[in-house]
Amino acid sequence: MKRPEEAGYRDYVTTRMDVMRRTAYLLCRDWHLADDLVSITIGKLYRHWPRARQVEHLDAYVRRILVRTWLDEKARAWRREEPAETLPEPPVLPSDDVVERIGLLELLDALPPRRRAAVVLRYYCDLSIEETAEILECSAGTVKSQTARGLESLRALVAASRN
Amino acid sequence: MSKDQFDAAIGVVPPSTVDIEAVLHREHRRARVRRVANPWTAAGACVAAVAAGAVLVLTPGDPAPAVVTPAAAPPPSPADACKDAPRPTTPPLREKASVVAGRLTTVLTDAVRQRVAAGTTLGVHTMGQYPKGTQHGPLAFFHVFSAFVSHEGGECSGGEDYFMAAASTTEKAHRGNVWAIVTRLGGNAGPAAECVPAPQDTQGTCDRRTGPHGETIVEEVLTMPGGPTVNRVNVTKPDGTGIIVEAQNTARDAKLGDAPDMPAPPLSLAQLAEVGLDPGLTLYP
Repeated sequence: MKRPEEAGYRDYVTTRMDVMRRTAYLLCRDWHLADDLVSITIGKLYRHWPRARQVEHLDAYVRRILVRTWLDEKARAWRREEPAETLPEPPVLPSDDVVERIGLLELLDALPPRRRAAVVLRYYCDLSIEETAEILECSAGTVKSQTARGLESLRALVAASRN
Repeated sequence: MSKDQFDAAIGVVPPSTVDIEAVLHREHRRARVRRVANPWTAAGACVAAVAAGAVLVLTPGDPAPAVVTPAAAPPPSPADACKDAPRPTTPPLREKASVVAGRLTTVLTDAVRQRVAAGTTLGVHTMGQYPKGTQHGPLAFFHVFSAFVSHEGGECSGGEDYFMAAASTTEKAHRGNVWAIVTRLGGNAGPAAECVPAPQDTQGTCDRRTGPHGETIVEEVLTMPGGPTVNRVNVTKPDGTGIIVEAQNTARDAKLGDAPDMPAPPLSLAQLAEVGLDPGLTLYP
């Protein structure tokens, strides 16, 4: 890659680092893994940068790489989560805002990967159904049903936690 | 549900451990290796490019020929997305995958058992699940394989082709884990052949040396402050076998950032190197 192209790549990656990390964290709920996903994503982006920098919606292109990377990583043996029978006790009682924060993230964590991706893309990245469908490589109808089921699951979990 | 709610839920974002310079370094190396290590691929690409009506411009001193395609060239098809993906460059296996897995299991299990502290027991580990839900025994190798899939937009996924094994280790109250990958060289899970800088916020040491039979050995130690330690040895054997052996002083996975469950990983760098250099740990017996 030529030097000016590489400078453009570096600028883009640096500028978008925060949003890429946040999106990755919402998908995987682990900052170490989120940073790994972002590292893999920007590596892939580098390989395609001469062509990628010319695409109309570069952010969408990068989100697509990120989501696909995460879904691929979910299938890898050493990335699988180890379920625990009991949750560790917090050392001190968390404040209300932390409970609220943990609540939303835990609820998101309870969704299966593709449903979680659909909810994050639709409601965090603010993408349309069509844009989400393109990234997840499925039909708009599937995104609608995945998102609806995702929200349904979230509502059910919220109701259960209140009871 | 809105973006603001999600941002509020995320809370304070910890410092980034994404090292852009390390990514650039790795990609430069990858591009260089691809150009230099496989001249036949480059030659094949040239022939294909000429056949497609492209014009080759050879500039003296250029590391590789630059291809100038005619104006209004068609966009790359999905089939192109995997053309640059890493693929094994060493010969195909002569044995069935199940035979290879069985043979490697015996060698690795013996090598590890001989070196861990007395009284250490080996148990199953979640890294030894493949496919999802199928748990393999302690240090029992399994073949990880997935076909390449090209996606529109130039993305390529899949292409896994390697053997993996994992085990948890328990010695009194000390818990850790050991895992290994044995692969043909050039694929997507190959051993490091050079040292690269440790990720940000991680203390690391790396040493590259040559083994007694011409093996390239890269020994790494990675430690996150207050977190677990990872001992990893990468071995590239002249016969075309790549090996990664790793030991962690945490029961689950160092990536999860748990506190250490034992003072040091169950195998030292020297012991891991001995395991990796075991002549039985090969894909070409």
